[in-house]
Amino acid sequence: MKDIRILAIESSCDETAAAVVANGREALSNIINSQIDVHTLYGGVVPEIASRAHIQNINPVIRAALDGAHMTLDDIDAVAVTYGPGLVGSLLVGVAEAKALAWATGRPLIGVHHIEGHIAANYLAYKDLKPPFAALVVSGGHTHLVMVQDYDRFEIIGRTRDDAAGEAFDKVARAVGLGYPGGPKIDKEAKNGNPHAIEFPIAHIDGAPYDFSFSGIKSAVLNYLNEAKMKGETVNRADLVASFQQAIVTTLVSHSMQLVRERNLDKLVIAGGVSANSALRAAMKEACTAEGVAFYCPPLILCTDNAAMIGSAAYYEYCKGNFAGWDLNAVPNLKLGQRA
Amino acid sequence: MKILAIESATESASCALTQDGKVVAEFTLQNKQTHSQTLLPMIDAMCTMTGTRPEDLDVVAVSRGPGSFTGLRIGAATGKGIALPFDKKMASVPTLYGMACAIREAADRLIVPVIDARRQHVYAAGYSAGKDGTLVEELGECVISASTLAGKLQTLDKPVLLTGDGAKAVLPALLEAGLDVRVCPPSLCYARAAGVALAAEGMAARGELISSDAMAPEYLRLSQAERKRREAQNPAGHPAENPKESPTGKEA
Repeated sequence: MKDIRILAIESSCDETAAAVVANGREALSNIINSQIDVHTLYGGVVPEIASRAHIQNINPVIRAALDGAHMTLDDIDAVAVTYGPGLVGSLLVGVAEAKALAWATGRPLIGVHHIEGHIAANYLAYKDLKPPFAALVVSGGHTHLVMVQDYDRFEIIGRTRDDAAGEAFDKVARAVGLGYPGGPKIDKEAKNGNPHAIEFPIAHIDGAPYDFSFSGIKSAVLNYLNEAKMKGETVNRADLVASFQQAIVTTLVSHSMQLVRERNLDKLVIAGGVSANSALRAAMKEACTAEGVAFYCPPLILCTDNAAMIGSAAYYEYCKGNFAGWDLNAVPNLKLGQRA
Repeated sequence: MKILAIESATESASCALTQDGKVVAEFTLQNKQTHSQTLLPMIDAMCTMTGTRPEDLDVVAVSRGPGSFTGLRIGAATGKGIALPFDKKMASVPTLYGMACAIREAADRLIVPVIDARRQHVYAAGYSAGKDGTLVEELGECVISASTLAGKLQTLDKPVLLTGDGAKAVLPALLEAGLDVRVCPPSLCYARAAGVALAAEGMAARGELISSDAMAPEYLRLSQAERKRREAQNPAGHPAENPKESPTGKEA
């Protein structure tokens, strides 16, 4: 059977990315242009600046993805793009570009859900991984516990009621002076601290055992800092962030394992930017091993926002003939499992 | 020369095809639908009806701004995506210049295209007809208040023809300054792709085409975050804005 090669574009936040993916399972190229240095000046992603950078970067990034795969557009079977969720101005650049490319080359267009892409990153990393499985998607904008029934069928089991896990990392990092981006900086700092030094509260939501709430933990950290300041005490920053991280990780792991047990599942997948967190990976692996559950986490390059994961998810839409029209729009609050 | 032109800087979404200066087709929508949903279906319909394939094009021209930031990016990304597969050259057409080109034959006055820039300002420029049918820039594109624009036009001392969605907003100030002003009729008062294509013809002749990689909007304005950051770094009150924004731009 002929290989199906998809050119995928991702621009939902502050990474301009393009990739060529074969048969949903092999990234032939994976180009990511990160704008992190620019946004660091502002302590977080500035949507207008991100959008401006996307339009500057997108054609060279696409060209680099084709060159990296040693291909031209003639070798491409379809064009895929993230159309939500994300920052609308950022999404629109990728969507408009992908539509025009598909139209000009006479190729079908595939719209991909960003979170479905994150989950699909695992298909690239593990060639034999097949649904059904449980997936925990954690990033700066999302915290979802998902039952992946099939490649295109998703059941949301739990989600955050307030901050995304990555958002809590960013806010706490800012409060303790570690700066942006918070995730990697806290991960590093926490390695020098005692994760059990401070007990932070773990939120349980009545009637929604799988939902998350991280604003309480974040507030507890801020209160702790304030109290210490008022008493004139110095804070052991490494202990503080290690304990904060521990509280987040414990919640993520316990919810995930509860789902695995309740549904008697044998596979658990993590995905998204926060799945790069070393403490989360270690704790989840340990919990899975203890339960006899296979644990999957993508390599770091596929945890961050990238287009290869979009190309993987798009392949399964391609197989079902699920193509988008030229009126495809960016949908900043696109629901998981929704189809254009 | 075959040109596909795109105009999405303002509320109108518009595409046009020209062949050696003749407008073969033009499709314009002025409703509240997003350009993201309308622009490519319009291009597709227009090219289907005229039997035009993307590989047949010589130039992809895009209205590069100033205008709505998001609108500009939708137009630019659409143009870049069409140009990339066949390495087509692009014309990055100043929006206000394209608007002037659309009506240049009809005007014996100083053409002043005006786009609403919000925050009590407009984007404006001024062009008069040169001897050989080209346009001569008399007022460079700028972000400007109505009263400052009136002052600049007074020094040029020419009868004025206003076009664009900001025309009505600046008219009272211009009349108050005693200027001889007319406003284009509604049928000529919006940004349209035929003007972009005609502007691109001239730019191609002058060797001003660029690669699809280099095509990017010209906003004339910094993002709000950049503006605030510069103001914080430069509290003395020097115009920290884009140099093309007049110092009075800080009043808003």
